[in-house]
Amino acid sequence: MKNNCLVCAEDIRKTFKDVQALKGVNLSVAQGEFVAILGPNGAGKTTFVEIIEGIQTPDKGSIYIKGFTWKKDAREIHKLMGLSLQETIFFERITTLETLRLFASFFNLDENRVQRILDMVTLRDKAQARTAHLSGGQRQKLALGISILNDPEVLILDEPTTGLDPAARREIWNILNDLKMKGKTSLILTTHYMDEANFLCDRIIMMDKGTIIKEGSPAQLLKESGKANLDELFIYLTGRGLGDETVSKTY
Amino acid sequence: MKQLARLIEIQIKELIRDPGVILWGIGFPVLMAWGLGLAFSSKPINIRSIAIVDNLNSKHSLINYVLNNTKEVASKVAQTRRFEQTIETRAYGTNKLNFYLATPVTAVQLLKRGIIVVLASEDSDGVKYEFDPRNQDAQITYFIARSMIENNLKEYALDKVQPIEVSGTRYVDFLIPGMVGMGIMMSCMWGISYSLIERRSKKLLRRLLATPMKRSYYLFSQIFTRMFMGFIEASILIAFSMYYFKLQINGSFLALFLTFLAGNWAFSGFSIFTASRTTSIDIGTGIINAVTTPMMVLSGVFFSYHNFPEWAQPVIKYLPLTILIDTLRRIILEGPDLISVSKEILILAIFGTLCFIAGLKIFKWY
Ligand SMILES: Nc1ncnc2c1ncn2[C@@H]1O[C@H](COP(=O)(O)OP(=O)(O)O)[C@@H](O)[C@H]1O
Ligand SMILES: [Mg+2]
Repeated sequence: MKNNCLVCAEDIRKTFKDVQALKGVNLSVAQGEFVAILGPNGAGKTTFVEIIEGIQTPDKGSIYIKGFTWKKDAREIHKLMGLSLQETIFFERITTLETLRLFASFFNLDENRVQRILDMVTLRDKAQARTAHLSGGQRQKLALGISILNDPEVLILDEPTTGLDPAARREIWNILNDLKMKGKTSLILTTHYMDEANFLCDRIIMMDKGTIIKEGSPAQLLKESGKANLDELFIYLTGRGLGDETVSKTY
Repeated sequence: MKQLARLIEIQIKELIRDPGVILWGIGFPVLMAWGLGLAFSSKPINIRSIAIVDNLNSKHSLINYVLNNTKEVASKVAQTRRFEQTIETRAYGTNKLNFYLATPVTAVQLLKRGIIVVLASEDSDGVKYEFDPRNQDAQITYFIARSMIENNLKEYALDKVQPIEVSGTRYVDFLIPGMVGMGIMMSCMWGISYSLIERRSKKLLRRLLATPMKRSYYLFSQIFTRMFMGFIEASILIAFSMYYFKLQINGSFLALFLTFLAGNWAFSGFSIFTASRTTSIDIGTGIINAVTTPMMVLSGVFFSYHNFPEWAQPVIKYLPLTILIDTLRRIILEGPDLISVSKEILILAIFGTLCFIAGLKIFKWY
């Protein structure tokens, strides 16, 4: 393992046709650390985390997860990683419980674990509901449940609360906070909500146009910049708010 | 192993909880077979009339047949007696035959007026049939009447005319194997190909792959589920046809089952191949239609492909659906032994395997 980092990303670059999505991004996450990658739409957050997740391959740069690389040790990494994608689609006519059981079987987990997760993500009353009939918040909770099934050392969530109402967001935060208390899991979370990053994470990485523009703990960032809040800092750094787009097209 | 079992369970549930599957996979083929089978099996009663003339010195076999086997009814034509008999035939449906007993002169008159189409007369030399060979109705009437009479009369039964009773000559007999083959193709192409493309485009495959799930298990579960479903669909269609249309399976069920498996495997492999690249549902739908529609038209599902021009025959004959349907048809209608269809089974299996390997080589999971 490289200098005590659980997840190491070194100089990650990725270009799509004419868009330079990532222009050399570095990241290291320590064990038990909660990191937020904060940035507006199109900043390159999804591309970056999907490269860490082994779903996309970088044009340049390397990823080490607990010292493993995707090329050689995909199975090991899969076992210690949990993730949820930005868009969450399940088998439509399968129930919540059946979905959890399916993913549990991939990790060789038993029914006890499935039942535990059902309680952890507070979906017990929706256990028999088909995934197509779940609300946005319930779907996100199910996605989160799947991602933590294998009790991952590395958890990567791509915008887990985007589009949810405040109550549903709060529920997700509580689940993640419980996880943080246990201290066994490292989290990489992408978001464009400043309050989410601030509330959940030890460290905030501000990203825009494929580069990291600032990083540090919430308190550190405020102190150094002298701004009243983090939203203002972001506007100060980029000239735009987090809700704005960096590029004209949404992705 | 638990992985595989769960995957199969999920795939089957996903399938049977879709009301469309019951409708399109089971209801639709049965309805279509029923509709087409009825439409082409000429159920309405055909009335066919024939004059019987008994000349001097005959053995009276015609007269005797009529008197012994038919029922006399009132005749509207002067100087004749009319007898009726209804007979079911496989090839020509239900026929009501009118036998007019008449003198030679009256019989010719009846023929001229179009009341009868066949004139059967008997003298010391035997029975003679007269009719206009260009008149199809007359031909069929002759065919039926002669076989009725001659089969009944031992002394004249030299060359038994009996093609009418041979099983497997009706349109439904032709249609059902065609529909079974088409069902296999459609079930695979939509159930595997479309489903893979859809799940790829919705990023479901991507999510599954971000776990230690075995890719081969996923594909296997999809293929297995389709075979299972296809088996149920085909069984229901065949059972319905056996019950309702009295379809006879002349070959062995083993041969039928093996052909079913080989056909399923052929189209499963083909489905993997056609689904190997595209992420777009629209393009996927286009590709599937582009490969299934020509085969549906050319491979002889609804009518014989021998009607297509000579130069097209070699191409048509080697389409996978043609091979499948021809083999199913032979097994169901002609009853060959397993050995004589083994070549076709092998070709289908090899075709499927080649497509599967090629498809996997270029397969994009997301
Ligand atoms: N598959 C792709 N093809 C082309 N462009 C892409 C693709 N994925 C992402 N991009 C582009 O890369 C940039 C970063 O996208 P993304 O990583 O999704 O940003 P974010 O998740 O921060 O909103 C955007 O400009 C987006 O349009
Ligand atoms: Mg994104």
